[in-house]
Amino acid sequence: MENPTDRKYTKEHEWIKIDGNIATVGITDFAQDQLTDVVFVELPEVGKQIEQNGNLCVVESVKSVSDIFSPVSGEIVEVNKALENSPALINNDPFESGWIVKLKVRNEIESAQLMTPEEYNKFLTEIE
Amino acid sequence: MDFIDTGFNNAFMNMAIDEVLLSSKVPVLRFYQWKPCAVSIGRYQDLDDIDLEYCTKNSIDVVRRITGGKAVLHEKELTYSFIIDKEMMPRSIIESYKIISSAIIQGLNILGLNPEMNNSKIENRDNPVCFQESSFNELTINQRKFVGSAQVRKNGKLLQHGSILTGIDAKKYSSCFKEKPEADDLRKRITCIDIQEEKLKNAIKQGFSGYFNTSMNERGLCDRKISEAEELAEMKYRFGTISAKT
Repeated sequence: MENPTDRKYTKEHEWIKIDGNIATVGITDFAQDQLTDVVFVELPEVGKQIEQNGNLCVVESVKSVSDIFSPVSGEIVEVNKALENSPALINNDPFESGWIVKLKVRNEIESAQLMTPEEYNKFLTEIE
Repeated sequence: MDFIDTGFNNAFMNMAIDEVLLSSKVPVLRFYQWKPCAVSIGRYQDLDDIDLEYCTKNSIDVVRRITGGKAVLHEKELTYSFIIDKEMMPRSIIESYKIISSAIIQGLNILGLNPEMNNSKIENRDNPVCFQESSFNELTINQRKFVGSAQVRKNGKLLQHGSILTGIDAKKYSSCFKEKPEADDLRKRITCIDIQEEKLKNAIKQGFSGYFNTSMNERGLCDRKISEAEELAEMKYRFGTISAKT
C-alpha cells in the first residue's frame, strides 16, 4: 500500500492530515503490518488536551498492547467511533476509514517539522 | 542484563513488580511464581470470561495484566518477564516474539528439549483461554502449547511475560472459565515440562545469556522499588484502575 501524498508522517509511523486547524491522525500501513491484527482500540476522550509525542491511544493487537503517539499537540475534537466495533479498520484501511482521532492543532509549526511522504518513504527503506 | 528472581508473591504484587521493572535502564530477565495461584486476564479481556464464583471459593486470585492476550491460570509454572528498550527489539510484534522464544529454546535445548515455534495464526481470537490457542512464534512441543506469553510496549520499553508450564490440572483450569473448555481438549492442546525448578531456571537464564550474548547481573529489588510495587499492587491491581474487579 502506498503512503498517501496529502499528509505528513512521524518516525513512530503515525500519519497526520491537516485541514485548516483540524488534524486527522492515524497509523501507517507499515505500522499496522508490524502490529498484526488489531483487536481493540482504547480511544481517548473528546476534549482531552494532548502534547506532541504524548500517548494518543492504546491498541491491542493479537498478544500485545502498544501505545500510539500524537504527532502534534492539541485538543481531541473527535474520535473514530467505528473502531470500537471494527478495530480491524486500522489493518484494512489505515489511511482512510481506519483514522483514529481528529485534533484541533495548537501549534502549526509542529506539523511543519514532520516528515513529508518522500522523506517517510526514504525512512522506511532505511529501516527495512 | 540484570537477573531478578522474586520467588513467590500474590498476583497483584507480581503484576506490580513487572510494572515497576518497566523503568529499568538495562534489560531485565525476571523469574517469579504465584501464591496463592491466580488467573490473569489480558488488558482488555472481558472479566465475564472468568467464573469468579469458582475462583473465590477456591482461593484463586484474579488479576488484570497490563499486557494483551487471554486468560491464564498460574499454578504449576515458572513465569518469566523480560524488559528491554523498545528500540533494541524489532518493531514487528511477531519478530520480537521470535527473538524471545529463541532465547527460551536455547535454554530448553540445554535440558535436551526441542520445542518448536508455532508458525500459524491464532485460529479463534475470541477464545478466552490463552493456552488453547497458539500465536506466531509461541512455543509448542508436538504442536501442544506449553509457553504462553503476552506483551506490552509502553514508555519506550517492551515487556513480555509468559508462563512456562511445569504441570497442569486440566479440570481446575477448565473450572476457572464461565464457558468451561473440555478438560480433555485442554489436555490435547496443552503440555508441560516436568523439570526440577532450579534446573529449569538455570537453563532459561543460560538461554537468555547465550542468545543475547551478555552476562547476567543477579540482583534483588531495592527497598524503594518494593515499596513502589506494594503500593501499585494494592492501589492499581487489587482495587484500582486496572483491577480485575472493575
